[in-house]
Amino acid sequence: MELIWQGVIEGFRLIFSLDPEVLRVTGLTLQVSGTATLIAVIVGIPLGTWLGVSRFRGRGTLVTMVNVGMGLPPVVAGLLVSILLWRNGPLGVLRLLYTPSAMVIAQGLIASPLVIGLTRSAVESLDPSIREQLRSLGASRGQMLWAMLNECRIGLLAAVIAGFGGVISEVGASAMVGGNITGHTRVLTTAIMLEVSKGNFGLAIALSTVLLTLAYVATALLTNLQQKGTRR
Amino acid sequence: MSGIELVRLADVRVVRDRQTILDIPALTIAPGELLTVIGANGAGKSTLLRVLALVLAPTAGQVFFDGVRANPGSTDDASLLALRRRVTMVFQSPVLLARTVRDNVAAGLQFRKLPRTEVEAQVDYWLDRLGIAELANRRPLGLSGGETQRVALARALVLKPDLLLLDEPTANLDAPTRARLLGDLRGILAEVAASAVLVTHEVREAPYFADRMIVMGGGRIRQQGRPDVVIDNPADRETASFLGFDNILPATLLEPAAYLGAELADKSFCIRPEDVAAAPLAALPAAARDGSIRFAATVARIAPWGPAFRVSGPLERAPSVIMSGTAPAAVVRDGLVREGAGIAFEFNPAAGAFVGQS
Repeated sequence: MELIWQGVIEGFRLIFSLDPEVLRVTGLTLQVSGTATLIAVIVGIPLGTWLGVSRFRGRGTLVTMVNVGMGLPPVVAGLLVSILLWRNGPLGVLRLLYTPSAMVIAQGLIASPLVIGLTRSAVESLDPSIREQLRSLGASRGQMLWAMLNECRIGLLAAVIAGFGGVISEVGASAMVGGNITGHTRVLTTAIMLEVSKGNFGLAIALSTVLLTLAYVATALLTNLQQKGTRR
Repeated sequence: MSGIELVRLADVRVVRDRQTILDIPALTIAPGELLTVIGANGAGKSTLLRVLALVLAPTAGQVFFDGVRANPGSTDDASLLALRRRVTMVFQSPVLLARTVRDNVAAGLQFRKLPRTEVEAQVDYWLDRLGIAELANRRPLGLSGGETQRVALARALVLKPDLLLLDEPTANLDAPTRARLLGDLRGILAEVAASAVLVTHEVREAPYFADRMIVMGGGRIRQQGRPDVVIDNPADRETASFLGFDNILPATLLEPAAYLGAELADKSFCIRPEDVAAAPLAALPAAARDGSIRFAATVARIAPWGPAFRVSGPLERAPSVIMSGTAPAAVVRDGLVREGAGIAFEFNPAAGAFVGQS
């Protein structure tokens, strides 16, 4: 108990003393997970919307695949990206393995199904007649889709929150494709793993405190945005 | 607007799950014409409106708007959008957007990219015209049914459509609210001079609006004509029963059979219970009034019906036929009409109509 308490205090000391190593690791964590979430949003919201409004053969299978993807274990995502980026792999020439870019790709792979799946369910939860009603008010196809996304913005923000929460907390993929290289690909989760394996529980708890604070602040910001949207 | 037709449907069919839910060989709506469509649930009324609104592509057939072919799915998107912007439909359950009432009413004008000042002016006018100006900054959640309907009407009317389609705009409203909204609507329709199609299952509302009334059943047009004429002259038994002619009797029961010169084979005679007097046998003179017909019956059921009572029971001469009539509250209260007792149903056949079987 004493150990945890000491670690938490140390964590806040690290945050407020602006320790350069912690700042760098935290910065990279935000950068990698933020970029991955952004990519997942750019890819996932249009795809999720399309899945939500279209009817075609094989749609059910696709939806199931996305739903399975929502539970994709980070280690598996890491393995897939490793195979792709391996020196002799199909994308090996890009020499991306053990770089932050590789981590962004792996995390993007983890976050995208979450964003796609939750966007689809948000769009499908709208009143089925809303499309015809918007059409009848003179909306073009683009205007109709935009208005529909605006209607389910709360669900879309939930998708973003889930995507970000999924990647900022994962360690398997980051460790596998990033390699946890000091000053290059070390992020909070991989740093925590390393410290634990070295027996530095105090520092691990401190870094965990930083991670939790970061996750809390980011999620609180998004939630705040979301709750503004609930005022109907 | 050109010519005498605003919209024309030709051989339009809508098939869903291998069932034909709409089958309209021909229907034309003239500019400025007010049409009312009645029919039971599942008669195809809403489907017809959605085809007219150019939001539902018929499985087969052609839709012409102002002489131009306007089939969703085959007419190109830009032309279709331009035509669709001349029609608007108020849905039976309007989905208001999760923004203020004012922004809801402005939505359609914003889709048309009108200048802001014009949007503001138009929105203000219609909010005021429909008596919902004080709701302008409210959000849809928490609006009453009547308020929601008014917002939905305002956001349609603000678009100044050439064709306004109203799908049971007064359903789900209580009687006074309905009457008030209907009154407003009549005035507004006269003011905007648009063509309008009103779908309703309130038969009594229909004649208020329309130049023409269409009765639908099973996806087809069963009958059409002037509302006051249609309402009293159903074309078939199904329409008759929908129009409130609850008494449908084999015509051969009526004697002499020469009534109205009708050829009675395979025909039925129908009459509304309101037009049939149910009176205790003792209270009646020996013979029916001039021109009237009287049937003896046994009372099987008595139920309140407005200020009076509806009395039903099998006829003595044809016990398989159950007839309904209206008895004043006083005779029921005095026990002169009671279940199991004898009664006379008396009516003037001129108040009813002869209909065919189908």
